[in-house]
Amino acid sequence: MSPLGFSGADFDGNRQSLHFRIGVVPVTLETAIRKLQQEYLSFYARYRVDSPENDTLVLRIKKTPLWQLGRPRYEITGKDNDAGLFPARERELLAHLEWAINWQIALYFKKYLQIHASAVQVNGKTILFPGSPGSGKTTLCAGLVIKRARYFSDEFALLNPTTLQAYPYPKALCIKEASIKVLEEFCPHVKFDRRWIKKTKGVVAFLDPWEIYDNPIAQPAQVDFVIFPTYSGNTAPELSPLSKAEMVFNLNKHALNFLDFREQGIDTLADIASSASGFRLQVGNLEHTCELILKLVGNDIQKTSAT
Amino acid sequence: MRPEQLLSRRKDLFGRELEGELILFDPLTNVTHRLNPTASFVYSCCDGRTRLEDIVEQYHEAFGVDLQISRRDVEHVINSLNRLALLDPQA
Repeated sequence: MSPLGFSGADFDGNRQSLHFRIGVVPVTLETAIRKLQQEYLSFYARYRVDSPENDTLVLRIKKTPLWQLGRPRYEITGKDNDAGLFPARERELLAHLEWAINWQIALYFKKYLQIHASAVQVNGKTILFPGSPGSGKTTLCAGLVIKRARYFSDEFALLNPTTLQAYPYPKALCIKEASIKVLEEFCPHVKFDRRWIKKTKGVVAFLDPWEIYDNPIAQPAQVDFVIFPTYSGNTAPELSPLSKAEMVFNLNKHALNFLDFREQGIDTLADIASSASGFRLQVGNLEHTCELILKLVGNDIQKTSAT
Repeated sequence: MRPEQLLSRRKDLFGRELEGELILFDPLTNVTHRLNPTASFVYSCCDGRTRLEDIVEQYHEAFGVDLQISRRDVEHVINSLNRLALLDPQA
């Protein structure tokens, strides 16, 4: 209890629970912060559901009581109050909430083998772009969705180890400041009129795939291509084929919860690699890189260059 | 390395062969390894019954390189497999 008679719970007393099912990922937000509720709903209202699912990922977001001077203004916690994030300002809230949800998925959404990847579907072919931060996977994914690819996710490829299918988690795409300008030039009708701050990425904007075109979300599907991007500046993009074993080895490096699956995980990745084509991609100019991918999917060639 | 030496793979590793290459998962270290086609060939020959000089002979026949180079390649692979602890040290 504070000297003024408020406890943390009192301060958070008008808390509301909002439930969502975003693709296959059930999320529950518990918060009294109206601004955050409105911001989240502006991207995810269409995924709202009436009641929580059994395995819903619960995120609690609250303001730090005013008497706790010197502490960050907000606190985001997940299951068992772990994975806490502490945004200092309101402009950091949504980006950090998305970040916290990603952590909760990685830690607790264990029925899928999770690959850190963006994923889209072009001409009925499912493409994973596994990559580390800064590899260009989100910008490339946004570019392809602008060119009418169907969208799975910009963060997780969720693979079912039994069916070997990829499942969607169609979160709003988190676009870094440097890529905002690239995408605005790439497609002038895509507007980024709101910005947030994320500690690890700086200024970010969110792109709702439904604002690009209607019904853009992919259905669960087998993986046809696994393409490992590396950003190399505004150069000519290039694809180089990978062996099946290289594909499995590199997929394993990007598998976030591989140790939940171990031997089964190797089997899953090897089975996917057996029927998919693997490439290393030097990401360059966005327009040319998208063209290269579209050409590849329409025409599964051994080595392709946009030059 | 002695020509009559017997080498054996660890029994607890989990492996998948893909187009001549091997993916091996080590459950003790949780590390995944990729062996290229020549390393996969040598590793597969390490069955606890085949002598080193016979592995060299099989390598020579499989890849068509002369015996001296085969011996050097096989010893190089075995050293790497030992360094990565993928062979049974009791064998």
